[in-house]
Amino acid sequence: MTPLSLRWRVIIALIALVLGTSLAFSYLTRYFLNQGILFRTNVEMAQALNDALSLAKENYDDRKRRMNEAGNRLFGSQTLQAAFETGNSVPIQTELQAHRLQDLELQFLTPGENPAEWSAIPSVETPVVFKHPEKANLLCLAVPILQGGTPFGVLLATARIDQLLNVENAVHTFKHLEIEESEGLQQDVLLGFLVTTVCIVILACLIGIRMGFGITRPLYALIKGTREMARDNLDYRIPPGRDDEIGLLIESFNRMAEDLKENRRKRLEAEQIAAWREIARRLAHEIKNPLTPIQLTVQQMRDKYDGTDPGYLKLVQDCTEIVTEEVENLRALVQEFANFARMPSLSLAPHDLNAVILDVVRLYPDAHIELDLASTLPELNLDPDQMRRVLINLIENGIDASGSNGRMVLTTRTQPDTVLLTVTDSGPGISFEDQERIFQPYVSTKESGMGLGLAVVRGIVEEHEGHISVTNPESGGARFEIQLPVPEESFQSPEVQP
Amino acid sequence: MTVQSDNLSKCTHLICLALFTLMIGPGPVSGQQIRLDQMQIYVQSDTLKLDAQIDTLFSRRTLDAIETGMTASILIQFRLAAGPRTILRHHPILTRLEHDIWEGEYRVVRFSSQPDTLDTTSFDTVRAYCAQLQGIPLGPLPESDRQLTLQYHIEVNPISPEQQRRTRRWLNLLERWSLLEFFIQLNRSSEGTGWVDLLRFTPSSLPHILPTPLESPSEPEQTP
Repeated sequence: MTPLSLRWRVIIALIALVLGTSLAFSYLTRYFLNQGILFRTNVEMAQALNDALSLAKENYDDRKRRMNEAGNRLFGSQTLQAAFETGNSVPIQTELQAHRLQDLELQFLTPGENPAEWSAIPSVETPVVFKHPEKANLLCLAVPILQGGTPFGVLLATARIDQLLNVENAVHTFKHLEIEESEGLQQDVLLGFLVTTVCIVILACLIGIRMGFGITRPLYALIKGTREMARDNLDYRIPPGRDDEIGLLIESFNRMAEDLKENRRKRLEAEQIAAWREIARRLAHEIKNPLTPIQLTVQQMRDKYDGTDPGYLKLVQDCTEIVTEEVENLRALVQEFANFARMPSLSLAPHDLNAVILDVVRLYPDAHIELDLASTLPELNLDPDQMRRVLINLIENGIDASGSNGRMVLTTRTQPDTVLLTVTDSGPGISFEDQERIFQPYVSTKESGMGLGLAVVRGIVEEHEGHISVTNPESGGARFEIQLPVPEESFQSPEVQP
Repeated sequence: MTVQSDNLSKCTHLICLALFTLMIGPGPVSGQQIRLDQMQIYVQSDTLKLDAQIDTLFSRRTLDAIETGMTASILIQFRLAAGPRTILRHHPILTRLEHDIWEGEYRVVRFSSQPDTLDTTSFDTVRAYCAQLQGIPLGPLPESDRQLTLQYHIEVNPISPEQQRRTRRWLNLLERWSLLEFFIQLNRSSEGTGWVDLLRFTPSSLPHILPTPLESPSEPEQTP
């Protein structure tokens, strides 16, 4: 999943922040407003509730009076007696309707069958209206049914007064709120609103600060990186870890620092090589000039001697041979200096690297050289003469390191943008410390030699815009790896050869 | 930059001050002038007893609430202290006053070591019953004759727990995780005195009164 870009993240975060804060405030405002309305107590409301309670009380008293009247009419009547005996309560309901008590529930009780209800009746001698002792929402009318002056049953008519009790409860709650409000309930609500508001604002600020730090922290890292670079510290790198535009910026910065470091290294090396070449050129010039006169002078001394002393003559001839031999050595040395100093400019043209390798290998028929060349190689922009020089240097170094029975392997491989040429010998390898500096001029691991060969090799490879390195493979020996760029015009599909 | 910081600091101080004022502003009810009159402490059958009359037990607010049928509770506490932190006896009396507005009846239930109930239709009777403290046992007479302090604490609350629940339901405060739960308390309706020093005495200075034959047996002794 592709991570969101910084721009969208900032936009979404800000929208979420604004919406979240607004929604929270909207909810809080509505919530506290509703509560404020509930808390709102005033004189009109108090008066209305008191009036409602008075009306309810009148209603209660009126109902109680009518129940009393109905009870007195039913008490001792034939209607009640017959209804009790037959169980038909219709005549009683008719009587109750006359007193506007049609909503009463009727029930006949006897002390034997309903002892609990019977005991709750205050009087079973005369009609009585009472509130149920356990169920406060019931108003009851009890009409005794006498037989020979003794109560043996009761007509219990009950009316529900929930509506009246609701009015009473409303008045009580209102009164409670009035008391609480006088003791600072509104301040409590206001305090709650303020505290929650401050909390939300603090939360929003913290989120904003975190977002701000999240955005600016990598920018500060970039600023620090540029300052380090200005202080010539090209080893400073900014820790990566982001996938957005700032992450790309950090990556570009680090890559730029790496390129700068590499370019500086190349420039320093180029300057160093140029200095060495200048030294070599001057040495070659200064040494080369007196060599011929020295050699001629010595030879002339030998030729002009006409004495007869055989011992002296032999001495002169031996000295002449020694001087001539050393002069030849010096001339060879001067030639090597001159070659290093006069690195010819390349003449690049498309060539087959494999063909160049085969040409060079043909020069060493006695060496154990194994070839593992890619079957198809793209043509490279090469100077074949200079590349032969490279190969000869490497092969001769390999032969020197491996000895007469040593083996060498030359391989070529096609890589996505380059061709890889490796030269592996079976010698003792090159120590890690020497791998670092073996391509510098006048550095050699051999007892004889000027240490200019690999410097020349590296110079030629880099002139080809290639790269050379050396490693010690696990199988032993040393392996030189040369990567040469494939020109765009001869670029083929990236076919990696086995 | 400095000016902005100063302004920000001033605003922060103002907000803190406002919040602090709001928090400490509305304090709990300190109550009306409830006090004990005609107080007499004496020894009867080796028990410390107290007779007293409470003056102005019900405030106007409480009377209004009772008149509309609300159930009030009265908590009267006595304690006998030998020092600031040495409580020898503690005697609470809880009274519940119910008013049935439909029948016009009052019921007063006193929860003490000896419960008692009064049913009447006269509020004056109720007022007298609640205010009259007769033969309140404070505990056995201490053996040492050091100085003691009698303290009392009276609290009258016209809001019953049932009414508290009804009000909270009305305000939707019973909802789980209600935000207002953190800020609103519905228990500040009580009025009271706090602990008041009533009398300093030594046991030997108290009068001894013989129980009369018709007098009801005294309440059992109660120790803290």
